Amino acid sequence: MPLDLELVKRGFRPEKPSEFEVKCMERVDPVDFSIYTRRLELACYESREILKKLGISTLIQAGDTAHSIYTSNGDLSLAEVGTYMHVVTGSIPIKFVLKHYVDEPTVGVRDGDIFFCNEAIYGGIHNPDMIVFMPVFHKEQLIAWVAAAAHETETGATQPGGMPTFAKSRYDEGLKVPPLKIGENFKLRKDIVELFENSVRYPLMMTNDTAAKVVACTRLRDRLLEIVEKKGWEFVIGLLRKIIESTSSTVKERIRKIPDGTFRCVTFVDTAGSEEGLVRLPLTLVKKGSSMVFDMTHASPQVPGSYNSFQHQVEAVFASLAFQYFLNDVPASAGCLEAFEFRTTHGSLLDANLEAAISNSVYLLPQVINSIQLLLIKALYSSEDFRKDEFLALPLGSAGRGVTLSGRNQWGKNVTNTLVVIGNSKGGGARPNSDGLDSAGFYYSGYATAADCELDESSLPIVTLWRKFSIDGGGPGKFRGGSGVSFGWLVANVDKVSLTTRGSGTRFPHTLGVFGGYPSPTRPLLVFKNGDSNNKEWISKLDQVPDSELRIIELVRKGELRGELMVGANTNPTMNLSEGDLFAICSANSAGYGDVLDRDPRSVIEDLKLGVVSSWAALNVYKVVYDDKTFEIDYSKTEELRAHEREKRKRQGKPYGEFVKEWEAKRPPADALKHYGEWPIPFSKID
Amino acid sequence: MAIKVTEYLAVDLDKENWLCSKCNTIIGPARKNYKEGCLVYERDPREIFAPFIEGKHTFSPDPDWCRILEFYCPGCGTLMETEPLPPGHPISHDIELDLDKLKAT
Repeated sequence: MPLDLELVKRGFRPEKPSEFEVKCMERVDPVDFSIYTRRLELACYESREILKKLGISTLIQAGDTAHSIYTSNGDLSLAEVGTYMHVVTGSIPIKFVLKHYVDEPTVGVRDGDIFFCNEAIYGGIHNPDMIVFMPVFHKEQLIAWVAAAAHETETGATQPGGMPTFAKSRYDEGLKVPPLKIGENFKLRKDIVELFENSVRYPLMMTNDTAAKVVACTRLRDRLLEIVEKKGWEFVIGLLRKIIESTSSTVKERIRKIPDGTFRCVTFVDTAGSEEGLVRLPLTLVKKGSSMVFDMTHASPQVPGSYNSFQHQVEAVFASLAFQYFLNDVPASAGCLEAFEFRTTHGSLLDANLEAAISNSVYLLPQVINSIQLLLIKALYSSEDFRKDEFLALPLGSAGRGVTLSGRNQWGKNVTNTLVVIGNSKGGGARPNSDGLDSAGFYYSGYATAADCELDESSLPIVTLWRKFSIDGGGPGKFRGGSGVSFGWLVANVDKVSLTTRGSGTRFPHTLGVFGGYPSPTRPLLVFKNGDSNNKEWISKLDQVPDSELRIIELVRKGELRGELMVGANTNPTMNLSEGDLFAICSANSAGYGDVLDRDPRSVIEDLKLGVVSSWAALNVYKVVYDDKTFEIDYSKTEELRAHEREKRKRQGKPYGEFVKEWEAKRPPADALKHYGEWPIPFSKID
Repeated sequence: MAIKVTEYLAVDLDKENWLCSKCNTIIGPARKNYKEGCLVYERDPREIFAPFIEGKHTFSPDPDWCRILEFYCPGCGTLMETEPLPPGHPISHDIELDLDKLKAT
């Protein structure tokens, strides 16, 4: 078995240019470099539009895709759109094929070949993320590789949706394909298509989307060959390598400008997948000269559920963050990653054993993004070059939450699809001069969009009852965090459908505030089972359609609704819902920036009018006094209340030494620490 | 010379002290954790995020699992930083600048 862990461990950093590549780079003058780099970026955009129009997965339709071009030896040269971690992880499967299959007579690499991979231990993320890649030849010369990837919403795992929350090992997670040739002469192999279709609950999506990715790759190949025709194949070799080399030097120079220092934070996730519990995700960032080390060695041990990851996935989510944020003005190439080093402990949930279930790694790793972005803000702030909103934004809400519905839909078709709008409507982080955007986007893909109600309702047996900003969702601060969205859906037009929910952030806040800003709040899942098959149309009997979780809770309390109400963890076993049942979930909220008492009272009133802040929070958290009929601010009383609060802080705050003595005697309850590891610092004997 | 390090913290490079950039109170030695010079308060998260309902999942963080530590300037009461932690978890030394390098540049 040629599983090549050395290749995976090497990660995504580029190889040194060969002598031939150095000669080819000399053929690329600065003007052509600029023109053709841009042309390749546009080719990636074009490839994305093709996949979006052809794909079935709701995540493809929302733009959660990746399109990229690699050098002939598999280094990422350029990617311009979609989910960047897919493009980074494409590099390892390509290098695997080059190392193990080029000279293997039963496989080989030829023009028109189509390869596929969705296996994390061969360099991928988790198996719903399926990548198609193809070599690009000019005559007999291999000059590049192209790839198209996207998240598919079904893998044939033990629960529908490809991210089984109760998976105990890799064998519960469904179809996992190492780098595999799935087609020749630009055509998919019939027997492989049959294998794929036989492995998942939604065969139509599997075949359609694989074919769509081939089309997207083929267009990238065509665009590269157009440049070959005009400038020669050696030019393309030189261009692709030069992009990597130039970004590497730009990034190192940018890092050099950041003051040297050590920065630390710790975040927690409140689920292990199979059950609730705290796990620890610490980060120490050491910035020295032109390099940065991200040390996460004291994370909790691997958990028995699916909230685990491998180290290369940690690096991939960092790339996803860097390409969209700190390095968003340079080409997304492997050259960006040379300056960064990552440290984890094998056996921890960030560097799990090969047999581990990792399908919900993508819901654990946003905490890594959260921590890195927070510490970058603390590292960058003291440099005037970086003290700007575009560099100092807190991350999007980092509590991953998702819902998959599976069964026969209202058209009689078998479907398994994810309500992608939950993932793509997270609140944005606050900044030094502005609030976080409400319903800003998706942490892995700045280009992904929140689907319209009609898109979900056309393929799934549901009706949208509400989608509105989550009240008091954004972490309070001088600038508040962006609000996520509260969604309520009713099962309609089918007798039954299965509901799989996953996520965290119900007991512990996930997204950290900065410089006095508060973290994001928690939000649970709500399910209301009507329980009366003769009363499927209960909503029409109410005076008003419910528009929030609170309204449903109120109706049940008053006895106006009878049935089973569950408010609890976002991660649950798959459950069956019947027509007339309701479920509600909230996309992640983000965190605040600065002291809440420094917030402009006028902004609080605007938020109040918008419905993102409650009257309770306006008075009790923001300390704003106003007329609740006219919304007129009483500035004098507001300032008085805020001055009183500052004095109160000085009275109630304790000197650090005194506080720590009392604090360190405390400990969370045992149920919170079941999967935590050694308290308070797991793997404490490791340096 | 004082350099702004956060929204509310500055570092006086000559005297090697942390300062509150709002009221100029000396918070403490710049080679140590600035939090050691702050007043610290353990906030019940329900005072910031009001529970919507009773029970284990209230739409507010569980106070047995999470407390929000608040670090105040002892001079003006400004909330300089927050840190949500499980009760008893060690406090982070979040900012440790290389002062010698900073002085040399």
